[in-house]
Amino acid sequence: MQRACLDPARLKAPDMKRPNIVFLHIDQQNPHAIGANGCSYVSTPHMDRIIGKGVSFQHFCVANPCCMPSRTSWYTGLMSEEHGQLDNNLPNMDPTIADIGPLIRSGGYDPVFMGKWHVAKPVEQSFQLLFNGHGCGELGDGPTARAAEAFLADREGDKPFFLNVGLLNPHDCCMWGYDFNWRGDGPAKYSLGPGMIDELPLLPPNHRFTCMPTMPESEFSADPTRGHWTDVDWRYYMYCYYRQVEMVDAEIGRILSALEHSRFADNTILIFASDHGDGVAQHYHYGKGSPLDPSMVAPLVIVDPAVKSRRDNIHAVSNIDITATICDYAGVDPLPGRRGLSLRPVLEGKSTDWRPYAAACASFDGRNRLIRTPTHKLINDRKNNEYVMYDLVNDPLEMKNVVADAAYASTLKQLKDYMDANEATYHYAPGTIARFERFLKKT
Amino acid sequence: MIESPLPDGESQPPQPGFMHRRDFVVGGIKVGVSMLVMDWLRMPAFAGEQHRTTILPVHLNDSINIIANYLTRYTPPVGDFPANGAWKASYDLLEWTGTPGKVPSTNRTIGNATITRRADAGAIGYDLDYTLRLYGWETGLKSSMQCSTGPIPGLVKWQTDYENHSMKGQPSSLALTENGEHRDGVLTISSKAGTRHFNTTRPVAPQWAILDAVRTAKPDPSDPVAGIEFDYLYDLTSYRPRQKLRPAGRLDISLDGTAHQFHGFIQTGIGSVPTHYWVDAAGRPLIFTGGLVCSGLASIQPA
Repeated sequence: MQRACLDPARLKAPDMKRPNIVFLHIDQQNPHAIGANGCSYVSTPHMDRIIGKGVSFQHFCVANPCCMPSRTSWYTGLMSEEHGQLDNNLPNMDPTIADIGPLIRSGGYDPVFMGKWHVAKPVEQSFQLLFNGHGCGELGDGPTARAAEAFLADREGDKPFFLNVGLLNPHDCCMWGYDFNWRGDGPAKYSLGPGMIDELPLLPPNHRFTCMPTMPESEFSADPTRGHWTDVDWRYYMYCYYRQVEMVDAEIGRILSALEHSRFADNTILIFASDHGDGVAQHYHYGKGSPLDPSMVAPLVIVDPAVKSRRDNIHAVSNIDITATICDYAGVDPLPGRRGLSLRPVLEGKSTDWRPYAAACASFDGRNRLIRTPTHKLINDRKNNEYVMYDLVNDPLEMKNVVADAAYASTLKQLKDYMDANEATYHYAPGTIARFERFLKKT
Repeated sequence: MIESPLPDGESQPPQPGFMHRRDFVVGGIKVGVSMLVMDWLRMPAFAGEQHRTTILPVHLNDSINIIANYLTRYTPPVGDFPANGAWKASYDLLEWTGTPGKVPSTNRTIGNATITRRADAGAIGYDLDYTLRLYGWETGLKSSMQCSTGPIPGLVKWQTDYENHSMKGQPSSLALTENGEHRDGVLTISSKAGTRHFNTTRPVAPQWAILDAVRTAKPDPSDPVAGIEFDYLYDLTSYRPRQKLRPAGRLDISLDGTAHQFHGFIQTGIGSVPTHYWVDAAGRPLIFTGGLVCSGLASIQPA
């Protein structure tokens, strides 16, 4: 197993002024629904500002595009198959698995938390909880941002802190998409006013492309009812999703401002990420869970005051790397047996022995596993052993399955090799294999 | 840099009927509500809707069906907003709860907001007392606002005291006081956490001033309130520029056995999912609904 790239000389050096670490995370943010990333339908001055200040990882592929498993991965540095949390439905995390909170506390940091946690163990076991989240970002994100502002203003002393701020939006789009009109034929609150239709975004070019011929589209979504949506339903969903992105952007702005005005501004590492993306009508999909890029790829930006802003197009990054990165900046030994790599050397421009791919599983039950490199993606459906491959350079919208194309035969073999070799290193959580076996028996 | 996968794609022709009136299933609810949204602007309403079998022939406007359970037990308050412009109104803050495919069993009241309006010479004053209780934490917010007069009152100067504590006794309490002013085209919000500036010459309205504005606005595109572009200070701190109000149509509703006729306005803009304000014939904004946030007028008193 690859280990985090740590410089032993920096570990716990007594004269080192260790940075504070702010992990600001949001929920269900498609990285391309950000103004700085080219989206003209949304206004995100504060996310734009983060991207303008930090290193933005263009190939941040989450280990599981679903809230609980993804968050468990970034706090433990383990894949879903290893920590056991494969979906949101049941708290299946192996309770014996340690997360980063106690580790960083033992390293001399104050780990504090506010907002959304959604890991299958009480947050208080690992962090000092300053404000709990709420299942509605529209209600809870404002108080969460205020709590962060107050913390940054009130913080006394020189002990370093690890501040976690979990904002929920644009996750409210999930509620939007549920059939809260109780019939399942469209977005819940469908009341377009006069003239609004002219303001709706246009459907993306890959709206009606699924490219998974043997898998019904409903396998990719929490809600199979979306098939009843009209084009206007979809466009209205997109419209509202963008507004929810703007909602959370305003809260991000408050936290950024508080950090910039605080005495910690010059000695704080800011990690900004989302736990997964959103379909935003691509591939006939809203929400999360899909193995396709709109769900799998999320924004990740790390702002180190000592590092110049840039976009990283090279490294295949996963959210299992978050824990290793935090440990590296904090100067503590990483948790044993974890597979994440520290991004700090990448930020600092040092040579690294970085893995060529990010691995993941998807579709809410781990049914799909995938390997994603910066140029290609291979998806395997465990249920019927179907493979799908995309050329992400020539087909970034994932509209053409090239798995049967002879020109890609060597790439296909390489990705299959990566997939098999990677999974051969897994230490499966108790019950995970049994869950897969039960699942596979359904065929 | 990866190119955005969301370019301006192929044009999608507008659908012939883009307003849906949706029947819905309300089995188990003792419904005293019937609603019909009239297509006030003569749009091709309902043309293209797909009628399906329903259990009860109840129609709700989709902007308020998310609080259907609340409406079944909602009784509008007695009294009108005093003509002298000095009043105190209290709103229930409602949780929209639901499970896909099921009728919401309840819309819990998770807080309340009392807004007191003062009509001073050449200015409007609002005092807000807001409490929200979520997941064992209580957020309190008190604000005193001075606003300009105009179709949409804009903030001139205000102070907001915010406090947040655990209702379960966890040793955590966070407090923040914000002072703000809008002067010479600059909106400034200051607190111990720093100062934020926003350049804007538009009026910057809190939600409570918008509620006040729609009280007297006519549901007509020619009404001044519908022609103004304004900015919004959500939660009295989150800045959302470029909002507008547009008439939403008419709504006939029976609440507690009494027929009410509403007209509505929809607020849209950056960071705002369409937010509906429904005003009854007496000029009382009884209900407003955001994306997941809903409120119902609980009381009116002279201030």
